[in-house]
Amino acid sequence: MLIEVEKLVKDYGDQRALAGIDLAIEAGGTVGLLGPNGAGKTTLVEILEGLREPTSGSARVFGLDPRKDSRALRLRIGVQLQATALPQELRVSEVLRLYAAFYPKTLTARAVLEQVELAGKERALVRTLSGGERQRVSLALALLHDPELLILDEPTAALDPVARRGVHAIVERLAAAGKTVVLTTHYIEEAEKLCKRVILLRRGTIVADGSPFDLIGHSAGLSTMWIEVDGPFDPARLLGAGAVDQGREGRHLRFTVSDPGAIVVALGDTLRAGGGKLIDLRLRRPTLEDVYLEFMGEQGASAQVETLLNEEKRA
Amino acid sequence: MRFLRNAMALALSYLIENSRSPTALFWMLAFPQLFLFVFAFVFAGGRPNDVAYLMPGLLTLTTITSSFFGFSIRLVAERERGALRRLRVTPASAGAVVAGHMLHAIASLSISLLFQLAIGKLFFHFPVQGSIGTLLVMLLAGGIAFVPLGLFIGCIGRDTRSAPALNNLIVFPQMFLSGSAMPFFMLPGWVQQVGRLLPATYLNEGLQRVIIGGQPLSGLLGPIAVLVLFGGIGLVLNSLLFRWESSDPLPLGRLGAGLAILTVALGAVALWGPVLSMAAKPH
Repeated sequence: MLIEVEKLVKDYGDQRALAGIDLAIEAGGTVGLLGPNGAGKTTLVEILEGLREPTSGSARVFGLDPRKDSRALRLRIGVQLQATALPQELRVSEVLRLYAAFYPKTLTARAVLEQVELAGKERALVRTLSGGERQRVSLALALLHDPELLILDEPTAALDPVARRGVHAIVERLAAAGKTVVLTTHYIEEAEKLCKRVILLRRGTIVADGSPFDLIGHSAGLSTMWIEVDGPFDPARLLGAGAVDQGREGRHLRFTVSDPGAIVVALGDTLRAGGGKLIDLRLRRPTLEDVYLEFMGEQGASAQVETLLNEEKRA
Repeated sequence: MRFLRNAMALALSYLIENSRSPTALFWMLAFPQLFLFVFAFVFAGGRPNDVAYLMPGLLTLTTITSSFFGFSIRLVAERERGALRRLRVTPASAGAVVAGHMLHAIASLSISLLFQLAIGKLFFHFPVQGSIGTLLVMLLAGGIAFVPLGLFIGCIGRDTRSAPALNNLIVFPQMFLSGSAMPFFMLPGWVQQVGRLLPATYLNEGLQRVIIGGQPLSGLLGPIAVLVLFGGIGLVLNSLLFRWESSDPLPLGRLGAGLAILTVALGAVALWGPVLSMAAKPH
C-alpha cells in the first residue's frame, strides 16, 4: 500500500478535525478527497505530507512516518499546497532552479514546463503570470523531482473554468503516465471527471469511499425517465414496477424510478400489449452530486454552496 | 555539502529578488546615505576629520537597522505569506533555510556598508587611520553578531504588524546607549554601564579603534570576541525558535532557555568585556 492510515485523529484545541480515519490507498491513478470546508481534507493531506502531527493514530506513506522520515518522504512525494507563495520577483526558470537545488536529481526545467504547458514562459517574472499560470508553476515545482506520488490540495481553487480544464488535462496525463495522484477538491464534477476513487469526508470522518460509478450505483437517489410514445399508452405496468408519475413535460411523460431496468422491461411489455410506438426514451441516472448531497445532508450542501460562491468571487 | 547548496540557492534567490525590487534597493542603498548626509553636514559641517568621528556610529546604525528592520521582518513576512511552508514540503532543512536567510543578510549588509563607505569617501574624503582590511573584518564581525540577532526577532515575531514593535524595543536602546547616535562619553555613568551590555557598543568601539585610533586587528580582539559571542547566541536562539508557520506556537520553554543563555552571556560581558576607549572624552 502506498498510503496507510489507521484510526487517525487530529484535534485543534477542542475542535476535532479528523475523528478516527482508516484509509488505504494503493499505487496508480487519481484518488479524490471530496467534502465541504471543514470536512478534514486539508488536515488529512497535511498529516500525510508531514506538516501536521496527528493527535493519535498513525499515517504511513511508502511505509515511512511523515514526521520522523520527512526528508526521505519528501524526496518521493510532490506537493502542491492549497496556497503557494511563489517569489514574485523571480523568473519562472529561477524559481525552478531554486527548488531544483533541494533535490539530488531533477527533470530539466524545459521538460517540467512542457508537462504543465508553460513552455516558453521560462523568462517570465512570476508577478506577471495569470492565476492559472501561477498554479501551473506551483504544479511544476511539485513535479520537478519526478515524484512517485503527487498530493494536490485544491489544485483548481479560484481558477476560471478554462484554467481549471487545463489543470484537469495535466492531472489526467500524470495519472496516465503511472503516477499516483491524491487530490482534495470541493468541485464534484472535478472528482467525477478525474478520480478513479472518491473518498467523501464529512466532519472528519469518511462517509463514502469508492469509484464514482460504484458510489452512484449504490446511491439511494432516484433516476428520472422521460418517455414519448405515439399511440395508446397505459402507464399502469410502469407504476406497478415502481415508477412514480411526475406528469408531462411537453410530449414526454416523466417518471422517477429507483430501478430503471425493471421499468424498461415494464415499458416493453406495455408497448407490446397496447400497440403504441416508442418515439423517445431518456434516462438520467443520479450523479455524484446527488450522492454527495445524500451523504452531506443539508448542512454539508450549504457549506458547499458557500464555498463555491467564495470561489466564484476569488476567480 | 547539501546544506550549503540549499542555503546558497536560497540566498542567491533572495538577492536576485532584492535586485529587482526598487523598495528593497532604496532601503539597502539609499536610506543609509540619508543618515550619512544629514549627520555629515549637520554635526560635522562636511569636514573630513569630523566626518571620520561620525562614521563608526553611522556604520553601526546601518548594521542595526538593516538587521532588525530589514532581515528580521523579511523572515516574518516569508512565514506569514506561506513561503516557508512551501519550502517545508521540500527536503530542505530548517537549518538550511535559516542559513540561507543569514547568507543573504550578510551579503546585503555588506553591500550596504561598502556603499556607505564609498559614498562617505567620495563626498567627504574622511580618513581611515587603520587598514581597510581591518575595517572590513570589524564590519563583518558586526554582521556576524547582528544578523542572527535580527533573525531571532524574525523567529519569535508573530506577524509583520507586531514584529516591528519587538524590533523597536531592541533597536532604540542599541542606537542611543551604544554611542552610535550620540557620543558614548557624554552618557551618564550608569547609562554607560547599561551600554556596556549591548553588542552595538562593541561594534561602535571596534570601528572607532580602526577608523579613528588606527589600531591593527590585534587591538580589536576584545570587541570582536564580544560580537562573535552575541552572534553565537543568536545562532542558538534561531536553532531553538525557528518556526515554519505563523500558526506554529512559540515554544515558550525553549524561549526561556534561550533568554537564560543570553542572560549568562550578558553577565560574562559585564564582568569580562573589554575596556571601552570611547568612554573617555577625546582630546
